[in-house]
Amino acid sequence: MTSIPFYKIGASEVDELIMLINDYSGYDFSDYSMPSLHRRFQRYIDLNKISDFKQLLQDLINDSAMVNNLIEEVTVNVTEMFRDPSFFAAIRSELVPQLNKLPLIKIWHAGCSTGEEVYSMAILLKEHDLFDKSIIYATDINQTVLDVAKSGKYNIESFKEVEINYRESEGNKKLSDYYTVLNGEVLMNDELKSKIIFSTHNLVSDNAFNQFDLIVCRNVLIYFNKSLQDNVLQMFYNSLTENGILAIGSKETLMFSPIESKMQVINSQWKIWKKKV
Amino acid sequence: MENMEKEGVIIFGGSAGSIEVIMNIFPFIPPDYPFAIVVVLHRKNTVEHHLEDVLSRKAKIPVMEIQDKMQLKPAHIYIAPGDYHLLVDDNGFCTLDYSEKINYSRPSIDVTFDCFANAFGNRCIGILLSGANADGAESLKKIQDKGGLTIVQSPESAKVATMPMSAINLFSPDVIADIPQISGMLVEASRYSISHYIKQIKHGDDLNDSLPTVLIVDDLEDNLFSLNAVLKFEGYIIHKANSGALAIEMALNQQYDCIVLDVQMPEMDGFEVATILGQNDFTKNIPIIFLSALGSDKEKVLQGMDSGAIDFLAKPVDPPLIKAKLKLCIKLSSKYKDSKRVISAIKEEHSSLKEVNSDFSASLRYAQNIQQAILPTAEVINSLFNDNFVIFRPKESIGGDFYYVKEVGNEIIFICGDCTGHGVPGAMMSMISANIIHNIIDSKKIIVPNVILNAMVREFRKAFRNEFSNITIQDGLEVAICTYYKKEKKMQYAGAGRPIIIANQDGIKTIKSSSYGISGNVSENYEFELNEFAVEEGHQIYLYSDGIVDQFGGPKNKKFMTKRLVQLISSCSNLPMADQKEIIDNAILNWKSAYEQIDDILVMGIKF
Repeated sequence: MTSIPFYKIGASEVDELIMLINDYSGYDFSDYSMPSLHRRFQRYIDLNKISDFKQLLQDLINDSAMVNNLIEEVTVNVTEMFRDPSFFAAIRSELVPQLNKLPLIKIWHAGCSTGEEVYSMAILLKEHDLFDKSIIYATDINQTVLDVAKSGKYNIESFKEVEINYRESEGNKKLSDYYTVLNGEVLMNDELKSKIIFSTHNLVSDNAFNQFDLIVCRNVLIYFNKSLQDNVLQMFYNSLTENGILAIGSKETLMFSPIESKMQVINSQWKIWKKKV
Repeated sequence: MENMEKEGVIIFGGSAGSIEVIMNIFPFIPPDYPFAIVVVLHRKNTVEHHLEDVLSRKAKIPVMEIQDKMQLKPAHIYIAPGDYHLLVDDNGFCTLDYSEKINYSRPSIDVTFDCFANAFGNRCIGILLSGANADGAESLKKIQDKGGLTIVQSPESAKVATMPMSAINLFSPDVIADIPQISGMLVEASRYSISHYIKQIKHGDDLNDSLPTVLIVDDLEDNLFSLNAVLKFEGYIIHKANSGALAIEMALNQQYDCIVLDVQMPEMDGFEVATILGQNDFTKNIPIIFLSALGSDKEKVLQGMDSGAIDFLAKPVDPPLIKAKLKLCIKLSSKYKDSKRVISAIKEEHSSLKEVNSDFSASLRYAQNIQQAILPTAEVINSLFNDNFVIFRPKESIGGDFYYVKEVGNEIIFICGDCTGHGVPGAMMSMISANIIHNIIDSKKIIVPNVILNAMVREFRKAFRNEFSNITIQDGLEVAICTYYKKEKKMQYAGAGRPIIIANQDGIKTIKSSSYGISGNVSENYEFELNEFAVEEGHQIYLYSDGIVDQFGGPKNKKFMTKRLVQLISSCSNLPMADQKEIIDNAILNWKSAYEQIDDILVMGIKF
């Protein structure tokens, strides 16, 4: 690996960290997927060059900022503009006609991270004249990434390849039409932000808060264990309007979940589902 | 899920040039393959690869792309999806992870191997294939550290050697193998539990022990080449010899599972080779398949069979036919090897048992010395009585019988004890009993036999009843206690389960004991019967444990019985004690004859 190995944690130390975080922050990670949590914790240890685990626990107990920092490391999620272009192409071709019929479109991006996917959705809606009647709720557990999302400011490096993504998503303009560049930073157009509500929401502990016509939650469930996945999917189901649509990550599945039988497939490759009537 | 707990996982990592490798390996994986196979390849995420479709056509077991929380099952091939890291938990449930790239890769082989090493330990075989970067090397070492087996594709067989070389430069992988060898190993592994196979490969220094090895012999290079081409993907290690002499030399140096032998060769033909191999113990059981253009010639076939061939195939070689024949021969050879393995395992076990046994015998001998030390010496006994004998024959080196002789003032106390059990537990009981008796007589100066018995009951209760629990010990002893009052010329006897025999002017008779033995179960106030006799010079007393009277044997395999003992003593009671000893000893040995001694034997004769 590129990182030098420091202290190697085992399963029991993962449990210790979960308990410590729960005690000192109230965030409950016990239903996260253990292998990925293990990996995130290990990465935190490697990045911070930690060689003494006992000392780490001591430091975390004495420093709440450090606990928050650890939580952010664990919950950070990588994303990019128009990630999986064919997914957005599928939305254009398969969902837009249905959304068009609605008087008001309510969308929830659950686990929106730094917000690229939310802005991608806003651009898409705009290009199909749906933007004005839409309202997008973008939520994440992690306040820091949410602040980035809210600002709409990104490092220009991360925008190198995304023009290709946009084209492959069958966008007929240019992605650069939707942002300006200032001092090596990309700034998303303010107009896009006007219909987005950013808010913290913890899928583990917070309840449904509205009814939505479309819920997008891609590559978030992979970080949860099966039982938490089932709970979250049930909450999504409860939050869907009649004919409401759910899009999850392409390698995530509704198989064996409690809502499997209550949803029907719209696009099997991109895991787009519709609530059965 | 139990399957994955029992069984293991084989995980491939590779990059450029590795798809061809797995395409060549997967056709050999049988449909009932007992392990899950996972493939992590670097793939370009811009192009939609349908690797699983391509592989499905090659493999005999289902091939699928992993979805989040899918559980690995045996006899399935799983492909890690592009653009996600693949993680796994202890139960074989997969988790996908979309976090930063590692080694510029997602999936990263290091991420996945590392995780599988933790989750599967010694049930994991990691295989690193052709590739253009160093991803996977460090974590392959981790698989080795955690007890798994590590295989690296040999750099010369890899299309791009960077990835295998990175691993080889970093540590010593367990096996470096080309594609046919890897195929052979994976097939071979399915014959064992995965951890057993891994152990075998790691600790057997030669892979050849586990992979069938075939020697092909032909004087023409072209024939060797084409035969090798036919057989190389069958999961064998193939060695080649281009002459009969070389073939013999090779066969004497290494155990082959089969020899495929050309008949017509210059200098030494195939029949000669087979005849020579058939005369050597090391090589005579190797199956031989003759290959010859003479295959159709009946006489030649018979000659071949005579010289030890298993089969005779005509040239040109029909590939499916020779594959099938070879498979049969290997089966035959492996049966033979198995039986040899079993025999050597038995031998090994036998010698290790002997070792344990000899350790144990040594400590028993030492224990025997300790036990002997508590018994009175012959000199002591001789000095106290006119004549006496002791037959002391424990069933094992140590036992539960003991005797005790002690002069206290003008009195002599002699005791025969028989503790429950024999061997080590019996000996422990006898040590405790002797100690208790010693305390009562030496320290407390108690000499009246029935009082001694009651004191023994008290001491036993103390010794074996833990005041914090109500458990009383059932074990104890039977004992005959006699006290000889020299001045008064009388003897007192009290018995707890052990009678005595008296021989005097009135003849021979048995004096019954109280029916209870000494144990924690007997009341402290139990009244043991006290017997008293006048004793004159020449009177004889016999004390004995039940070992002699309970001994099975004789013409009808019956117990010796007290009656027979009394008769025996009566027949020889006028003889000196040494003669009596010999007669009784011989009688019991004859009675026992070939039967097993069932208990410790103690007979003590005292002549006043």
